Amino acid sequence: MSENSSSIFIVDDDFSIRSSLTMLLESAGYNVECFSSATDFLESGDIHSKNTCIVLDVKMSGLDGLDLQKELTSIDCITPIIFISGHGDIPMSVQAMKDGAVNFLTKPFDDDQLLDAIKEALSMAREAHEKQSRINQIKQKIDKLTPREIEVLKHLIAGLLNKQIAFELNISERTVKAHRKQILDKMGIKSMAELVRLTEKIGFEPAI
Amino acid sequence: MVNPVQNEATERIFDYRQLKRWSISDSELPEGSEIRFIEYTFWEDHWKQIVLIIAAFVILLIIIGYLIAQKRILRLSQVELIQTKRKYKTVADYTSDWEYWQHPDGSMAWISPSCEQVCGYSSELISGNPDLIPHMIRQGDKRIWENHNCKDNKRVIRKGIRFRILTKQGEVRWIEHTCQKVIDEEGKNQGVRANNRDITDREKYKTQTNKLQSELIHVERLATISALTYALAHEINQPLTSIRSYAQAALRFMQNDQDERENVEKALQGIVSDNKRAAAVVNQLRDLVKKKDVETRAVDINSIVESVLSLLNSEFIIRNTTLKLNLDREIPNIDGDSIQLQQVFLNLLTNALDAMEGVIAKKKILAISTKTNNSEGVLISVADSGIGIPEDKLEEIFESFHTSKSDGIGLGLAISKSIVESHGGKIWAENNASAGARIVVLLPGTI
Repeated sequence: MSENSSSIFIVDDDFSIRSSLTMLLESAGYNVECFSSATDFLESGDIHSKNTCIVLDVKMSGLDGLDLQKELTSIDCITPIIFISGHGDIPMSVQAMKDGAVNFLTKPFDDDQLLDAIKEALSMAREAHEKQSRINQIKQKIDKLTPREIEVLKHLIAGLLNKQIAFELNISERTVKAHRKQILDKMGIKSMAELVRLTEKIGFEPAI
Repeated sequence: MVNPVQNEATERIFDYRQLKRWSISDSELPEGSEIRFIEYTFWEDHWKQIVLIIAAFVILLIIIGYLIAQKRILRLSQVELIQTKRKYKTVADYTSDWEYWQHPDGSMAWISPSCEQVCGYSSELISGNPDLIPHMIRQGDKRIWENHNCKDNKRVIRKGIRFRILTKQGEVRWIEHTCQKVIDEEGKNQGVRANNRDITDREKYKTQTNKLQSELIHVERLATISALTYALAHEINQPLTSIRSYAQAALRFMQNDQDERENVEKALQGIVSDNKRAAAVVNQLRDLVKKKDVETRAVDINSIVESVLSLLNSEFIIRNTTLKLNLDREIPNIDGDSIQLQQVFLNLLTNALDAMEGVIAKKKILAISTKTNNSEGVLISVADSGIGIPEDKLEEIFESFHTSKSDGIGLGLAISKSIVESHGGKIWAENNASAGARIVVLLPGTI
């Protein structure tokens, strides 16, 4: 049965495609929400849902699937997209994949094809969100530091000794040691190595 | 010689015989002389009779001469008459059509010898039995003969009637019959002069031409449909996709522990419904692809437009075109052939889609409207938002082999026009007030 309670989104202008895919996904234990046009989906407010993915038809009247993909990218929506299409032209599918789609399936497809792609998309979504929240956590931790502490931090992860940092910043070695302790305490970490790993994750630049 | 008695009384008396002897003429005698013993000559005695006789003779001669002359004139005119008769007989008898002159009482005044060649019955046979003429006409065409009624014609050559006859040998031939009433100089009805022409060949060519035209219409229909193959395949692929998903969903439901009967049922119903959707497209295609004789019945133009649109659904999506539909539900029915009318709209719609090829997606609008035309009949308009048609080409586009496409044949509009006109309607092109052009079709309602 379903692990997540969020719904998978289906965007397709064909009623029976929406209906049959809904049945299929529900039979595999997922919750489903349907939209008959890209515009409806954009206006729904569901675009920022987490732990979900979008099953998207390429050719629709009005805004088509590829347009929607571009639109979502432009508003930093990272929900993974699985394209389904009755037209299998290669340039179109290559473009869609390059722009970040999880998969591009041509109709008619097997249940396994779709469900596997959904699994992949959901795990991608999960990972992405986890990664995002880790980064946010780290950022929050760093926000707790004073500007002085941040300066010290930059030098610490550059691999400088306390002595050297004291010289660079024109403060005493003892002050450096005190800052260092504060940093480790505030951020709740135990070793320098961990500090380096964390700051690297958020792309924090060392002093040199 | 005896001397004449010499007295006064006898002084002037002379003897004719003496005078004669002495050759003395009367003029030499003195005045008042009397001549006796005149011996009249035969001539002098009978000159009156003689003259009379001679005169009578002369008159007789004149009369004879006159009679001879008359006879000669008569003979000449007889000769001329014979020649004229021969001339007109030749003119009449050497006609290759079968012609005749029928008296008001039904008997035959004259029948051309060509009669036998045309209908198999000799002119003698028909003379003897004039009823053979209506008799030889084929059952189905007898009504045409009866309605035309030679005897009521004025002396006017009208357009002929056509009917089939069964010749004496049993062959079927097409005849074109024209006739005029014969009125003599006194205004009396002298019957009917008729002309019957064997037009069997002409009718054969007409049938062949009609058949070819029918084939051409069919071929054009096939060409239009084959250009839609990609879109039609997509149209069928959609329900196929759904059917597979429904079936696989049902299989999964059945593998679950709990009772998913309701879900399985829903899935199966979905399969049936989508199967019907696909079947509808297939059926419609089959109808359009079939070669069929024209079948006229009451037809609703709105449903024709809708069925054509259902085939073009995918085509619209592929071409990113927006449809604006404005159907008047109150329009009357039309007498017509459903397949041919579908062909017309298929043609108009694909033309409109093609016309907008170069236009940017947002502005591709195809507008279709139907409405009742004033009195009766239906007005249908198919408008695109392309570049329009040059004013001087608005009529030319309906001509055969007129196309602006490099791979086009150019018969679509020509055939559409021919179909519309055979339904008693009209078709024409206009440019829109805004972008693009429209084709308008007017079809008369059921009579």
